[in-house]
Amino acid sequence: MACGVRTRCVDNQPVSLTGIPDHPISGGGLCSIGLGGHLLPYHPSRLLQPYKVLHNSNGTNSVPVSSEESISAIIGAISSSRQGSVAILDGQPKRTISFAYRKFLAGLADGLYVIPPTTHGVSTELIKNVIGEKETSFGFDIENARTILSFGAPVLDGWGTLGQFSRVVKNRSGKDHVKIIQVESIHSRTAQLADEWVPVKPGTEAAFVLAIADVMIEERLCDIQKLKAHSKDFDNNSSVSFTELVKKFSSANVSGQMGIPAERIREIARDLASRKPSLVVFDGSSFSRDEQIAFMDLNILLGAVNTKGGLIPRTGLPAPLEEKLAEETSLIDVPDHSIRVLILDGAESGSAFPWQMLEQKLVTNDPMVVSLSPYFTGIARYADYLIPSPTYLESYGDSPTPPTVSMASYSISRPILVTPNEVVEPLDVIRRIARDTDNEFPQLETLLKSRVTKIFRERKGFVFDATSGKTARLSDISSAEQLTQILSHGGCWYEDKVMSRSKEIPTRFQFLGGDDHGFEKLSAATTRNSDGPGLVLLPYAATVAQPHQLMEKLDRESDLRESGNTASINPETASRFSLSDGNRATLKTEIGITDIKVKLDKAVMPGIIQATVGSDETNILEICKIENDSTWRITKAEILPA
Amino acid sequence: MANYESGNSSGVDKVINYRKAKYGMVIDVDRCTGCGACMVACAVENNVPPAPSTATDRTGITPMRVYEVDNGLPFPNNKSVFFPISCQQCEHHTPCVSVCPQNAVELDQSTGIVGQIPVRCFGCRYCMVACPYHARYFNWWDPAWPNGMEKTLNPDVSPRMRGVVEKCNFCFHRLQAARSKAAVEGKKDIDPAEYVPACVECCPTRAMAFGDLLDSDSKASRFSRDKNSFRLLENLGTEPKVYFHSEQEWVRRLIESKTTFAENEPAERENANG
Repeated sequence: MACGVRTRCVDNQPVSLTGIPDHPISGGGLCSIGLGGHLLPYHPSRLLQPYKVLHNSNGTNSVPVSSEESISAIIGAISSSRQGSVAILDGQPKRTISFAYRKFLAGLADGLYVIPPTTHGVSTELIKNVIGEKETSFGFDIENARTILSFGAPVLDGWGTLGQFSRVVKNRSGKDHVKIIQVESIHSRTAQLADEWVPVKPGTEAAFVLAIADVMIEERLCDIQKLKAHSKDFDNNSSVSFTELVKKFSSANVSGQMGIPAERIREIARDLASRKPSLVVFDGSSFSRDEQIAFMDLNILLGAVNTKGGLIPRTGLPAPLEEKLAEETSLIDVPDHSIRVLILDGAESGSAFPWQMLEQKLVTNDPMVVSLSPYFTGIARYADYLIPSPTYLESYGDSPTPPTVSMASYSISRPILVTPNEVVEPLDVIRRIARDTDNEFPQLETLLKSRVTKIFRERKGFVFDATSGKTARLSDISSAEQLTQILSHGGCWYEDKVMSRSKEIPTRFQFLGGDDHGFEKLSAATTRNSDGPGLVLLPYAATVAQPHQLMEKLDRESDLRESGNTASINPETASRFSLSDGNRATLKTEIGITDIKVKLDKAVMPGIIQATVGSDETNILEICKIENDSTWRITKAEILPA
Repeated sequence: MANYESGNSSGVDKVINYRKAKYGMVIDVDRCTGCGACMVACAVENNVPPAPSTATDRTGITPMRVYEVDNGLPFPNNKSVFFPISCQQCEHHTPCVSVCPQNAVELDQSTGIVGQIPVRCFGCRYCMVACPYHARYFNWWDPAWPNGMEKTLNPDVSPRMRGVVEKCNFCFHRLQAARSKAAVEGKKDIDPAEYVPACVECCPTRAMAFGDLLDSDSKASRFSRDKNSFRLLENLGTEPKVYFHSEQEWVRRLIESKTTFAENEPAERENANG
């Protein structure tokens, strides 16, 4: 994610990757995925030519086809007069290719540009909406927070950029160390390592956060007058205000529901108020919009908006194209059975989601799904046509501001390896589909240069030069060409963070999400009930990215990560179902059945099945129930010895 | 050809007597998040092949391997830490050296690094049995890479053949490269910053410190003498040169104890003992 990478090449062949010291985004390191990025072109799941995939009851059968054949089939499907839209799902919006997609779709009568509910667990739009700031995006200044309250965010396991992660870990030692409080039902890596793990019962996170808010308001741990002045729905003397809402969630009232003593809730609220800056982070991919609104509300109560160690406004990046663009539509806002042609961009959103979420958006009668992924893994396995795009190190690309980061940044990458013959650039696919229209699409390299030129013209911020290891003001760079040269050699442009923080923003907080029915919706978000005699299936996927071959090997040959479809169960729970460690078992939900391996783990909450989502196996996700609010993290389940 | 000027018969122009060093590592367990970057960096650097999918935690090769260790307490009081374990570079009565019938394992007195010489190894695996840390691995298969991936191999390291044992050698080839560079630059000693094993170099949280333990100013040396630093199985007396560090008392107590069970779980301890 925008990390600077130094490649060691022998005869133009990369043999190792390392981080670039002092890189403003990565902090100089690389994660375990990045360290083996140069192996990805040789991954066994790599696609080296287009395929037509025939799905039948026995599985799938892939037939090699030419790119012309597959693109002709897509053109035919797009130009048919059938009902439904033509959509592109873009896992990483705001890249330069994203704007080309939007331009292409804007040229179609029924084009729809779809983005995942979250990118790397963050919904930028939702955050803007609660803060009441339409134009400015916000990032998490987590590296300067003194207390971090995390709702399922893998703060110590891949959340944010590597630079953010490494600085948080560094801040854990010393006198004024950061305290991490992890609230989640899963015994995740972050829960293991956090200063405090609060294992709330599944689905009670929103109730927990509102109980914290109640303590803060009741004990005057927040600036009530300021909040009143900056919000219409905080306390407006009506029965549908935020203060009225939290009254229903006194710690004494909800402690039983959450399985957390009331006094502990109070202590956490006081801790947050006294150990500032305090920041609430959350894994948006696991929670409904209303739950995320509740988490954001606590950030506002804590005074974390526009504050060092809180949520900091950042500037947007210039668009590379001026033409009319299709609007961004979140996947969860796409009506069911409305897409007739779905093109899946190969970029990963960083968040797992079940295929069913996409499937229910497709028309029932013969939809076409096209994957541009370089690999035959994940949701690409459900596509009708596979048109592989270049993989890492094979093409031009750009990395706009990572969604978690509190300062705008931009970097570009250039190819080191030659793209295999039958592999097609996504922009080339779009250009060939659109060749009968008036739309023209320049080469990606040209678009990138145009975007860099726009950044250059603004003359703001800094430029990190990876070759020299030095940072200069953008105003000291002589030309757009020089800036392009620096960026295409591992450099990075980034905005002046101090300047952005000093910006005054006219905040009008929307505690209830700016929705007329926000009060009812937030109340409903707290009543997700997982209680009962049965078990609860909680899928667990910390980070989602295509692993390289060595990572797959090392995971398999060590105990560091559970392999896909492993179910960790408390021994007490397992004994109720006559299960032993290492057993195979059948996991059954109302959606389906799958086979899993049982691992006994006394750290796991009794009554839950904590199941790992594998890198290319989606079986666990396939049996998860998608709720009306588009969440799928909690499913009632049964387990039987195989 | 003999080098008469230097008086030796090796053909080497000049024998360089490097300053004696004792390379070691200190791992701050409190900073390790178990991300596995060190494992990947080690495998990439040392040309460890992906191995067949049938390879297991016993038959696969993981010269650097991160283990999770917990306090043994049940939900909700369980706490974990991660221990990256590689060859602990035993200094005294090095067990693997003493059992090897082929002289395929050597403790280099000038660096303190325990080296493995694959061409001498004939695969008896005595050293694996002798190693108290289970840090040695046997090549059960011919090294093989998916089509094309062989192009990504590190040219500085020879892949090992089937039938031999391998282990971490603190990326000794990097020391050789640093020495060559120093020689070209006319320096007698290497710049300490020029020699860092791949695992240490890549650690995103800077949990590992590497250096000459004889150099009292090196970070590794200073850190190794901290009151909260310790070594694994110190009671064996093999003087390993890999240290660990934790401010958490339960972690240090766990290492001191003979079992991995928490003190407040007598029932389980009894089971374990009997």
